Order: sequence, then structure tokens, then C-alpha cells
Amino acid sequence: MRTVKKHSNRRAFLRGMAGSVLLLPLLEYTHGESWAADGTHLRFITGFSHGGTISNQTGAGKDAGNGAHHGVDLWRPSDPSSSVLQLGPIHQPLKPWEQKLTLFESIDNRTGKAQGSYAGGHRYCNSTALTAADIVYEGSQTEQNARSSAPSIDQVISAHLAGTQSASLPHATFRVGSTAYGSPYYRGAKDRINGFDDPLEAFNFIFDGVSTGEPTPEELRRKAVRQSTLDGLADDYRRLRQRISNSDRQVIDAHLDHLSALENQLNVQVACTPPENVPSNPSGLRERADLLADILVATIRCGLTDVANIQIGDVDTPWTTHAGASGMGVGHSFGHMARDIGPNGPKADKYQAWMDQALENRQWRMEVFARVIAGLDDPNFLEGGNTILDNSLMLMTSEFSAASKHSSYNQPILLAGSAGKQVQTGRYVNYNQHAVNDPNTTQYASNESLHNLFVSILGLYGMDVPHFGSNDAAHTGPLPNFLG
Amino acid sequence: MKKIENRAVKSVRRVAPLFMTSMLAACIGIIGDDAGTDGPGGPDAGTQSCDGGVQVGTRGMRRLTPLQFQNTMRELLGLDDFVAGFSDRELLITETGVRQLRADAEYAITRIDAWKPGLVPCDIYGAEDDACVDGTIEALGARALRRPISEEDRVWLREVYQSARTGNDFSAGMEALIGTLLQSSSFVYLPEFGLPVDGHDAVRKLTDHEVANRLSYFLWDSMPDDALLAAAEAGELSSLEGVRAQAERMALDPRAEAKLQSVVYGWLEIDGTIIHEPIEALSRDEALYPEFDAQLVEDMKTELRAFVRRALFEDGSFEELLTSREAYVNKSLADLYGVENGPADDATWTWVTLDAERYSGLLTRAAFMTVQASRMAQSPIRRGVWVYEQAFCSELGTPPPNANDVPVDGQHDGEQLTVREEVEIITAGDGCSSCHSIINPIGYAFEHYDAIGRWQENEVSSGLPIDSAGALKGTDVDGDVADAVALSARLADSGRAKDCFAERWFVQALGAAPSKEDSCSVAQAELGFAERGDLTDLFVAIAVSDAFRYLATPD
Repeated sequence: MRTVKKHSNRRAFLRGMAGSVLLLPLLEYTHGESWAADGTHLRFITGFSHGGTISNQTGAGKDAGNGAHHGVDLWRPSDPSSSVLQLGPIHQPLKPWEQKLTLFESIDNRTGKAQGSYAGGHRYCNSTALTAADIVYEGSQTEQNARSSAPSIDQVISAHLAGTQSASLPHATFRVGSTAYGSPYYRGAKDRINGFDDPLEAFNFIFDGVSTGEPTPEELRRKAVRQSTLDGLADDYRRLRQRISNSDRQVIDAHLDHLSALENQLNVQVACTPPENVPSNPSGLRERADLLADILVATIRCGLTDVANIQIGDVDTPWTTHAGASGMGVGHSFGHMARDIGPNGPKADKYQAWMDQALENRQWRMEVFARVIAGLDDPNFLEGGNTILDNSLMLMTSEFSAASKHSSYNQPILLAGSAGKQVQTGRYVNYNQHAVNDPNTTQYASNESLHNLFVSILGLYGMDVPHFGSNDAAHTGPLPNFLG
Repeated sequence: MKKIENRAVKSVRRVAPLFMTSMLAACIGIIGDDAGTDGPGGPDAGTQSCDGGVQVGTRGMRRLTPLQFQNTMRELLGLDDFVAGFSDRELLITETGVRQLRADAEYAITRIDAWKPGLVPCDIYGAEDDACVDGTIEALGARALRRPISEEDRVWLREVYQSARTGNDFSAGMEALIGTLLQSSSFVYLPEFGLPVDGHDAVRKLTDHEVANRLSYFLWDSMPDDALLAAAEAGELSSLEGVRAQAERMALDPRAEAKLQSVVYGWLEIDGTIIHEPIEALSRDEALYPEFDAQLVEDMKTELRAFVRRALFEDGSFEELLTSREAYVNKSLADLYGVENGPADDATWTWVTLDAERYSGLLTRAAFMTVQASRMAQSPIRRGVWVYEQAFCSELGTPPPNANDVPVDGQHDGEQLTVREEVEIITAGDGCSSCHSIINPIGYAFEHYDAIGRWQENEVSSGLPIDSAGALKGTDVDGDVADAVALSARLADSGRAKDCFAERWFVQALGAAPSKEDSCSVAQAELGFAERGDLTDLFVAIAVSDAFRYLATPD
């Protein structure tokens, strides 16, 4: 058994962002340094916002806004003519970290486009947005049954880091609200990860066995019971595995892998005062999201994992000022409504209500991501002179650009952190070939896809691979000008 | 209870079972295509001989659903209030699911004092009791594993106990032993191996205990009870008569009604889908529907349960389900349905007969009409899609990317239209009309029911007159229908609708859609159901089918 001492800081953690009150009475941190203080420890985090963004992407072009569609892209920087990042409307909650962000525009999900009977079904794009992999089906070949054939980028990095960095959990994945069209996270073919949506369950599972010091006799007893149980279950499932068909073995192999993960957690003794008094039933989505974001930060600060994900469903935000103003609930129908609210659209009278509500909703999602970023960028938790954010890369994205068009062109891609100062941040990079002369052009052509982005990201973690994902990419290798 | 006769089915068209066809093509191909009206499978369906002995499709190993897991824990341990944390529905179990199983097992052990007597024949927190280890393996083990305990099992479980006991107290060993059983592969999954038939291995006959498990999870969503286990141990489930007897017994049990209600709820989408919330979470425009509140929703659900019980469980039939005008109402529901001289208050419930001109069966009831509607108005598109896909098992396929699921409210380009008129406009495009020429006319038949299932002569949301003239296309009962009463009558006469309903129960029985190799079993069961529409008969027919009692070895 190895013991890893991990520390955090209660006061700093409770401070939160923008003076808001954190609802998690957390961590008695022992000093002001995070546990991996040598600065060589890398992390990877994703924030996945379902349902696309406020975009005018229509496919191989951009809507000008003089027809039925609104024709506005609020994900773009406020000045797209400048390579110095100036965050646009949706990203305003991230303004304090503007110099630690990098915004890439015109990266397509070419695999998503290539799947199915048309380019851009929700499940096709959810299954490819973080995998760039071909689709396989659970049963008949309908979109309902579409799944990824390969792991998502977070799981690939997790598996790689497991060989060089110590962590008791391969990943910690969280889910805010319903993700009706499926999670983008995959451990392997058809092996989808949904993540914790209940903060208390997340806390109980993630911080299971974490203590302030040496384990008590009762904890040792419980560990012995669990170890024997896991051993017994492993024997049982392995015996079954020998008797079943090859196709069923995948089912039992997944179960055995998870038993192994539980055993790994059991045998890594982590000393880090765990959070306390996590409420069992948060009253609302906002509180739930904040708690999950805080637990994510605490999980990383305590060194329990190096890979974490938080996905936000295409959910309503009933607390926002303009909620309900359009007569639509935020969500799938609301996203589609963007098609009709342009000056010549049948619902043109609802344009302003739609825009206001959509912006508030998307800004809230960025607030959740900002909460994670704030927790990681806390200067009280330095490692090798960097904040944890500096030693991390956080990818914020979605399955679509324009949900109203199901467009998987021009995916929303925003990075935070620099994976150990490898990425020059504070930049805006646009791969639209037509934007060279006119940054506001409605013409669109890009050779860059998620394949190239993921190759670039893997390179930051020491994985020198020429290609990642399906064969749908325009070219192999990393994105041009990725590092800056 | 009627006995099922074994009628010979010589050959059947190959079924294209639920959710198995590629749908956009099917949607387009069925229009005006006589071959497409043959039933599920459409024009490409071939025929399959039923004279070649046992035919059964291959299926993957099943895992208990969250409901089945919870019911099993309750039944096994006698903890009627046990609420499982296990919620995993993914094909491959997730790490969270495995953690939930452990948490549920550990929680159940904390309540061991409340367990059924006899499962653990000692106080595990008392003095060391070696005989209790063996007693627990025999008593709890056989029940938890849902099969006879083998010598290999005894050695395995003894080792688990001893491993935890070493260096710890007796209770540690017992906790590990019990925890292992409650998370074991035979508890969490439904592994089936069967026995060779006449020395041949390609198709195997399920063992008695495997049949018992299939029966109990098919009809009860729970583990076998003592009587079923006794029948399995006595070898009675190797015979058709033995299976029939147990299926008939189990079909009359209240647990079968709970299963029935659960399936009908899922079928009607009362608990929500990816495009709409569960009925409890729906909201309605307060000005248009001031009576809509949480209590009315509960009343609708009460009525639905009572209706389903009477129409299907208490000597009813499929036809009764679709055409009965009987309704179980309190004052609020009586008002909603326009019943005169109904109950004086909401605490008083009674059966009434609804207006024959306005109501007919399940599809015209408030709960169903409410979930297939939007905040402002009825939704002919969703109602039409439901009938076509869920009542006829004909899939429409994935909507194109320009499909817009914004609820239609009749406000269009500054004009106030009826919902129907706006639907006509927005679905008229080339990319829409092939499917919507089927969907819309079905949905229009329901136009008289507003967003809470109230009858409307003039549309509540627009004030404009209702036009409920509709039509069925691409079915075996095609033709114009004046309204939902006529449409329901047509559905009740539809062989395809009955086959669809029967196949839905095959999915429940097999844990997966039947494949073409199951065609003969499906056809046999459908034959009896088509003739009488009796649900209990259908349950028994499925239970005695080859698809239910045999398995095919995939490799």
C-alpha cells in the first residue's frame, strides 16, 4: 500500500468565485500547497455543454441573419480580427481568466458529419465529439442506438497518465441535468460513462476511504471486508467469463475492470481531510451544479484523480431573468427555435426573448465552468510555481455549434490552462480559410477537425501519435499553430 | 382463465421486430405501397418455415434493470421499503453502477436484523458460529444466486468468509460473505447456459431454474417466489404443462399487475421520453388550463391505473383497452370529461360511462392526451408519431436535421391559425412531407382533445373550430377516420396493432426484441392474441414458446 499525502485549503476553497457562497462546508486543508507540489503533474479536464451554442453556423456556410435564422455567433471573440483573445458575450463569466484561455474556431467534427443519414444527429455527434471515432450500434442501426466505437480523449489521457502519475481514481465524471441524447464520454466501444449527478453520491464514492491521517481500526476492518468481497467477486466473475460467449465477455470484462478500479481505490491511502456535510438532496439545478463543480475541484486538489469531466445537459435555467419569455423551455425545442426567429422567420416576434434567454442560459453554463477554473487557478495552491490550472488543460466544448441546425461544423472549442505552460494562452485562432481577408465572412472552409485537435492535446501529455480517431479527417497530425 | 391451444403455425413471414428496421426508408417506402401493409417487416420480409424443429434467436446476457434489482432485494431479504441506489441502464455496466451495487449491499447488511428469518441463521455480530457460515451459504446462497448451490460455490464462498475473518472478527467474515452474494454475477446478471437437446449444442433447452428466472422477471420484474423455485427444483419447468401452470398462476398475482402497469406506463410515455418530461413535471398555460395542477395529474394517473386494471387485468381484452368508455373518476375528472352527475368531490371515486361520441378507450384518456401535448395546445405530430410507431410498431426513422420540435401553437407569421393549419404549413416541405403525410392525419384525429385531454369543439389555444378528420396510411386498417373514436375502433380491429402489442411483451419476456429466428414463436403467440385479445393468454403463450424456453448458442 502506498500512502500519498494530499492537502488543500479550506478557506481558499470556500471563497469561491465572485464572492458567492459555496454550499459545501469543505476541506480542512493543512497548508497552502496542493499535493503535487513539484509542478510536473498534469491534469486534463473537460466541460461539455450539451445542445450547442449560440451560433450562425449552418453547415458549409454561415447564416447572414437576413432570413429565418438569427445569424449571430455569440461564442466568437468580441474582436475576431485580433489574434489576442477578447472574450465574447457567452464567455464573459470567464473574463478573469482571459489570458489563460485559448479559443479555436473552425474545427469540424468530421466524424459526426460522416455518420448516419445526415450530418449531425444528436447521438452521432455526442458519440463522436470527444472520440472522433466511428459509430457502432447497440442493436439495430438507428440513431437511438448509436454509440462510439472507441474511448473518448479524457479516457485515453487517463490511461496514459496512470502509467506515470499516481491517482486512486482513473477519472471523476459529473453530470448536471439530464443528458437525454447520451453522454460523450466513453471508456471503450459502447462503454459509455454518464457520471455522477447526485453530489452526495459523488462525494461518498470519490472520497471513500480518504482520511486525515492513519486509518482507524474500524476503517481497517472495513477495508478488509471490502478487499475480501472484491476478491470473491473477481473470482466469481472470472469463472463466469470462462463459460460465456465472446460477445457476453465484453459485459463481464467491463464489470471486472470496475471491480479492479474499486480495488485500486481501496489500496491507495489518501490523506486529505474530506468535505463534510454535503447535502443529500440539493434543492435546485444551480446548487447541484455548484456542488458538483466544487467536488470536482476538491477531487483534483486532493490528488484523487488527474482527469475530470463535467457535462451540463441541455437544461432549462428557470432562475434567469428571461426564462419563459419566449414561451419555450430552454432545451432541445428552444435550440431549434433559433431557426424561426430571424427577420423573415415565422417566430420573428420572439427574437429578443430568445436571444436574451439563450445568452443567460449559456452564460450560466460558463459560470459553472468558471467555478472549476477558479478552483484550479487559486494562487494558494501552487505546484512548482504554477497554479493547478497552469498544469492542466480544460477543454470546453459541445456536440454542435448551432443546435438549431444540428451543425457539427465549427465546433465550439475553448481551452483553459496550458498543461504546464506548453500552450501559449490568451490567443484566438481561426482556421476558416475565408476568414484570412474577412474575419466576419459568412463563407466557410476548414481542413481542421477534432482529429487534429485531439492529436495536439495528446501531444501535451507525452503521447506522440500521428492520428487519433476515424478516417474522416482531412489530414493527419496536430492543428497548425496549436501551441502558439 | 382460458387454456392456450397449441395451434400449428406452418410458416410465418419473418418478423421485423420492434425497433429493428431502418426507418427513414421505411417511412417513405410504405406510402401507397401495398406490400408495405403486410405487417412489421414490410416488403422485404421473407418467410420462415416453422416445421424445422426448435428455432430461437441468439441474445446477449441480461443484467437486472434497476427496478428488477430493487424488487429482487426486497423479495430476497424481505425489506419491503428497500430503495436501491443502483440506477445503471447502460449496456455495459458503469463504474458508478458497480459502486452502487456495493453501496446497496452494504446498506442492506446494516439492516440485517429486519431480514426474512432463516436466510442467515445466526447473529452475525454475536459469537463465532461456524455452522452459520454453511447455513448462510445454503439458505441465502441458493436464493440469492437463484440456482442450486454447487460444491464450487461452497468452496468459493467459504474462502471469501475466511479471507475476511483472518485477522478480523466473525462479523467481518459474514459481511464479506453476504456482500459477495448480493453483488455476485448470478445475482446481478441472468446467465443462462441451458442443456443440449438430443446431444446437439446449437440450441439448448433452459434448465428449470433458468426458466423460473425468465418467468419471474418477465411477469413480475422480480425473483422467483418459493412456489416457482419449488417447481424448478421438482423439475416441473422442463415440461410445457409445468411452465403453463406456473405462468397461469403468476399472471393472476398482484405482481403481474404491477408489471402490466409499468409496461403500459412506458408504452404511453407517461413517465417521459427524451422529448418530453414525465407527466408530473409538465406545465400548462395557466390562463388556458387553470384547473391543471399536481393533484389533477395524480387524478389522471389514478384513472389510468384503474382503467388498465379493468381493461386488461380483470377479464378484459385488447379491444376493451382501445374502445371501453368506462372511466374511474372523481369530481375533477368528471368535470374534465364532461360527465354529468359525477362525484360531488375529489375524494369520491366512481366508475362512469363516457360519451360514446367523444371517448373511446385508452388513447382518448386525459393522462395520455396530456403527455402528448405541449404547454399551450394539443400536439397532433406527437400523437400521430406515437400511434404509428408505438401502436403499429412502424418506425419513422430519425427526423432530418431541419426538423423542428418547437411546440406548435398556431401563431405563425403574425397570424392566428389552428394548430392543424400551422402543422400543415410547417411540414409541407419536400424533406418533411413523406413522413408527415402519415403522421399528421393520424394526429389530426385527436384534435378534439386539448392539452389536458378535455374535449374542445373550438380550439382552446386559438378559439378556432376544430377539424378532426384524419386518416390511417401505411397500416393494415388504412382509410379515413372522422375522429379518435373512429381511429380507436380501427386500431382495435388491426391485426398489426395486436401483433405490435404482443411483440412488446416478447421484449419483456426475452429482454430484447425477438429476431427472425423467433418468428415462429412470435407468430404462435400472436395468433391466439389476435383471435381473443386476452392478455393472460398472451403471457402464457409467450411463456410456453420455444423462444422463451430455449436459447441459441452464439459461438
